[in-house]
Amino acid sequence: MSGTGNNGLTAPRFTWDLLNPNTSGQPGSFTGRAVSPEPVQGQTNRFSKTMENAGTAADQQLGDKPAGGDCATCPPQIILEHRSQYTAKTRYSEKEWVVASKFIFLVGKDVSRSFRTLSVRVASPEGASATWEVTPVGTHSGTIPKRTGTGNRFDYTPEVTNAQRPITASKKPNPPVQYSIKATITHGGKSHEIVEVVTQDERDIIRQEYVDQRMWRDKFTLHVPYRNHIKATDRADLRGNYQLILDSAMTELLTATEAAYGGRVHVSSGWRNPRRNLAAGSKVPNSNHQHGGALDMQPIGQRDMRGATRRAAYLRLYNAARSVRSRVVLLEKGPSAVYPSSAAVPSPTDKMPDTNEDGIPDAATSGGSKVESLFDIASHVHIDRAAPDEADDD
Amino acid sequence: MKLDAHQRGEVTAAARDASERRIFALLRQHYGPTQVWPGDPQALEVVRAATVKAADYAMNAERDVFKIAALMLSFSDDFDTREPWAREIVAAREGDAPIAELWYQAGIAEVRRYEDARR
Repeated sequence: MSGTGNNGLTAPRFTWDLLNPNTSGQPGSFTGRAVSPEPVQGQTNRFSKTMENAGTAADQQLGDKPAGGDCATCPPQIILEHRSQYTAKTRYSEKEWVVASKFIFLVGKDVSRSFRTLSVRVASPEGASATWEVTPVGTHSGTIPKRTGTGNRFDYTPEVTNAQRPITASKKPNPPVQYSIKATITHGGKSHEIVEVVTQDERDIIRQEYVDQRMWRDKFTLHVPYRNHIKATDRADLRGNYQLILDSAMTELLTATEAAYGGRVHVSSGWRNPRRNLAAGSKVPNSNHQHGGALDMQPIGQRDMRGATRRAAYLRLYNAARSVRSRVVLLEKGPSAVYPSSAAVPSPTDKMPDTNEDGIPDAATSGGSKVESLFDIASHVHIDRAAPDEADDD
Repeated sequence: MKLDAHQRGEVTAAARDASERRIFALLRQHYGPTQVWPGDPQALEVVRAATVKAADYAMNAERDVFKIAALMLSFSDDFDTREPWAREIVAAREGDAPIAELWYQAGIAEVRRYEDARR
């Protein structure tokens, strides 16, 4: 009996019939004598023992050496490489062309108002030509006007519209932009097909939000952040809609403030990705919260504090923040400042006593209001530092 | 030393031939005296087919090719899709983890089961 494998070979097939010592089988077949418990014709081993010995010998004598090299009968090893304007930057990639797992890319219009072009090529077999077909995965990945072609390299230019991109207020993460790339390669007289999907990682999903907002949101001018400013954090209160955070100055401001404050503070609002900033009701198109350069902080346990205790805690936090190098420190109620920017709070004196011991002179006023009452209504202390100039990154 | 395309082709062809011969020689040493040996020319074809099958499963170590070739000789050239024990191993495979050794041990167990039944 012979096997009918998909490669057309006629290697014998193991069946119980073949193992019957009373049947001879066709030449080369696996007969019962081969596995008979009784040794035959000088064979001292059971067949299973022969297999065991052979396996051990293969492990010892052949090992992990690659078999076949560029075996003519083997399918070729097909490797695709990808390129975007970002993989071409040494800041982000050691190589201009990279495999899919290391591919970083954005889509949409760049500062020259042209849609970004992505490229793919056959890296192995070297110089091989392919027939290409690129398909966007999901409506949010846009459309590709010219999505087929031939050659070793194929350039494709995804076009996205504001109707296709998720740009409205949300507290959920965006999906990645993805493209499915099918390459059909003729090699050794045979046709081989490979399908690869390139996917934005979380850093690029975040960066893509900024591209989207720059294209379609009025007065939004914040640049697309550097990838190396998007970091992991173990502080959940710093996060936006993602596990990673954009941190251009936030952690530095927080660490310095906590050091001056003498303990941990609660961050009521840290980094807000643009969609989260909209969801937070911010009216400031270029809020520095979106660039990881701003913090809203509260004293730990402030919800349970009342009167002079609460004012004293807020004053201590406000003064701690003022001691840190920053652009501005604001005492805010919601989105509005209730005390002049970064202004010092007067210290109590004999003439301006502090009878309730909250650290604020009882009679001190600002803008016609008692300073104590302004600290009573404060919801947080805001601190920020100007967004870095990274305009060349877009 | 730089090789041109033609020289590289000769080197890889020589490496391929040497690899096939190594696997074939060891296979013949152990299986040649058994009833499953189909003759040298066909056994060499089985080695080449085993290389292709191994590559299909993202394996290319010579020992893996050897074991796949041995199973193709002992069971069938499509043992991986025909034999239930082989299909189970494929189904339980995680990623591209090598499974030739698992197949081989399962094949030995299958043969041993028959041997024990006939005692």
